[in-house]
Amino acid sequence: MRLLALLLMVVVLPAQSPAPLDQADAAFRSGDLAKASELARKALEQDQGSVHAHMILGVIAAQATDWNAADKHFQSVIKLQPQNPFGYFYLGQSALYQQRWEQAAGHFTKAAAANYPDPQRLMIELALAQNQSGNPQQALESLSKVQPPPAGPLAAQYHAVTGFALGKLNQPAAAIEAMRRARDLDESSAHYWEFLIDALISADDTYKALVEAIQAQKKFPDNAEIQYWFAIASYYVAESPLTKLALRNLREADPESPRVLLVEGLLYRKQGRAQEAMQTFTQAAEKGVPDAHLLLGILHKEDGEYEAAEREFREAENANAGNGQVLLELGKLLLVRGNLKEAQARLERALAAMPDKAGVHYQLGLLYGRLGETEKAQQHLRRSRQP
Amino acid sequence: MLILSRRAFLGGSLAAAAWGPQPEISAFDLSLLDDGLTPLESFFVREHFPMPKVSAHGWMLPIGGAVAAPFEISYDDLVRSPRTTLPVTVECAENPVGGGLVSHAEWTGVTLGSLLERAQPAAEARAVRFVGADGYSRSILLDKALHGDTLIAHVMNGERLPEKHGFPMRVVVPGWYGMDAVKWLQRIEVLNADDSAMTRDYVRLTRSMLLGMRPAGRVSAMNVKAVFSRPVDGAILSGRKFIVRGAAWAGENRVRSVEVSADGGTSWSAAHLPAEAQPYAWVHWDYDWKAPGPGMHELVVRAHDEAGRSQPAERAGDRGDDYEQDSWQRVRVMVS
Repeated sequence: MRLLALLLMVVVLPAQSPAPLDQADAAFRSGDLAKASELARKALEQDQGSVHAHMILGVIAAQATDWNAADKHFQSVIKLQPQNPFGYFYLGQSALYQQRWEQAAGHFTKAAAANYPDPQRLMIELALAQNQSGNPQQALESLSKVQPPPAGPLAAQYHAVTGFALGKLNQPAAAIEAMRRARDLDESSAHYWEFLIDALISADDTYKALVEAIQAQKKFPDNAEIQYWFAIASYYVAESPLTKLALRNLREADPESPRVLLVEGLLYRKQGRAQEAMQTFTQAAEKGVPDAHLLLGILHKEDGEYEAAEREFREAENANAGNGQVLLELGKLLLVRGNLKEAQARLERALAAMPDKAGVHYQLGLLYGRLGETEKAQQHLRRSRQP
Repeated sequence: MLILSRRAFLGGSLAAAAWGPQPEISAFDLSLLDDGLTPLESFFVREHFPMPKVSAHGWMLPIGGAVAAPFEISYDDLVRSPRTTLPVTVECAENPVGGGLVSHAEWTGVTLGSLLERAQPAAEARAVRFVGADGYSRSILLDKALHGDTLIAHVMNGERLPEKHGFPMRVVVPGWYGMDAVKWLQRIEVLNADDSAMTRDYVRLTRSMLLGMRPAGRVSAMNVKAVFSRPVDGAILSGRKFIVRGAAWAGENRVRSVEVSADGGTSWSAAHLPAEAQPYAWVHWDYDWKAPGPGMHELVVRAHDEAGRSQPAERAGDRGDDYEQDSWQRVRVMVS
């Protein structure tokens, strides 16, 4: 869709150069990209300062995911016309595709300063780049400068970026709501479904997560990410018999994925086959699946092997220090083992990651009770009982 | 006891909309088709009236009508009677093409024939009527009622029959559409003549310019039918290779083959049946499809049975009812 938008942007640029450029433009509009490229190059040979020729060549290169060439042409546009908003916008798009988030944000900011003619689209792209570069608050500020589009993929993207940013700011309920709107506006984006299911699981709303996952696995039957989330959601709903089906789907979608092992282990665990689960999680951990350490830790803890559990939880923390569930499990274990100082650090970080999670408040209540901070303890225990 | 016809039911359901609980209609999500039985909580539900509350305590099943030896039997005695277990696929007669008003379970119960033998039907007996505690009733011909596989079931998938599936007892008529599988069974009556409802409710209707709408026989045995479980219509595939899956059934017959077409029904390829097909039960099928390229593609499925029946491409144009919708299923998928 973005590339289509690029095409549309290009066609509104005035063609004001000699004949080869006109022909290149016509070929580009008709979809004959090879001819358009050849003619645009000819135009550049005649006039090295042809902004339009660079633009055509940049877009064609972007379509071919030749980002180096695309960047070179868009940089030339900027060099020739330092106030050309399109040059900055396309450079931003190219950086987005290459996941150079900060660069993308910088280019989009310059496009805004150069009065890019579609501020709504620009702000949504800028917000995406800002959020991805770790600045969710800035992203929300950028989005607040424009009205959400009423419909279509751009509207969906507006709400999705809002959801991503709110998620990073630990506002799960608002993030879920925003992502649900994004998904409703554009059901064809698997990323929106993934985020939604993940967020619902994190918020302990596992039934709703499973309902969404069932719909998603239908819509994207060979998408490994979606089938993985389907498996996870079905695992968390105790009475759901769908984990086996999800495992089959995941195996078919991505047979080589080490996450197949993880889901196999979850299925064993659900079937009460703890030893097989342990073996499978161990294999998954050896293949670098970070969640496998968390699950191994839980199994060890259930067996009363606290030392092994702590080792696994710490591995999981090393792999993903911001994962609220990992922090909660490690904090709980450290609390049980009497390491109150370290437990406090983990549980407070878990609270930052999952502010509404009753389990975190409960553990903090216990912790502060043991630390003699009765009032704080009561506060958290009360909070843990709230629906 | 008031016995309500289907027509009365329609009126009743309108009244229910205004006055109280509605009958539940919920489909099985075919995309969740696994290699086992349909889980109880996923099994389709098609109620004619809201579910009644029935207790097994003091529950008695009277078997009477045109019989020499009417009797009643308690829940406990039925449960203690010799059991038969059968895997049976039940499809609602109104299930649309590709619809999920179909599910598969293992049913355990007492053969209806054994109860009827004890009651001794009169020589002129022709039909058997089942009356449910919800007010719904259906009748089937005596021959089918006496068939050794027709059950009064109290166990479903190895568990006590759930309330929403007819606790304490329900009828299971293997190979026939689900309208005869009366739930919350309250009594059984042997009839000397065809029940008038048999020619009024769940009958085929044909339309003609000259004669208008006319009945054309009662709906009973299930047709041969294949459906997709994945991909579903509107799915988005990211790869070119995909294992297409589904189920096929043929009522009292065995499914002989399932075929898949990727060109709108011009050419067909045999699907793989991983297990031997059995009467009454659906069989799963799969097919390794390689999409020729990105874009929209239409997949079509059809089945054939050992009795020589084939799923038709289209529904007969003169059908004036909504039953037995068994034409080829087509799904459109996007390959990105």
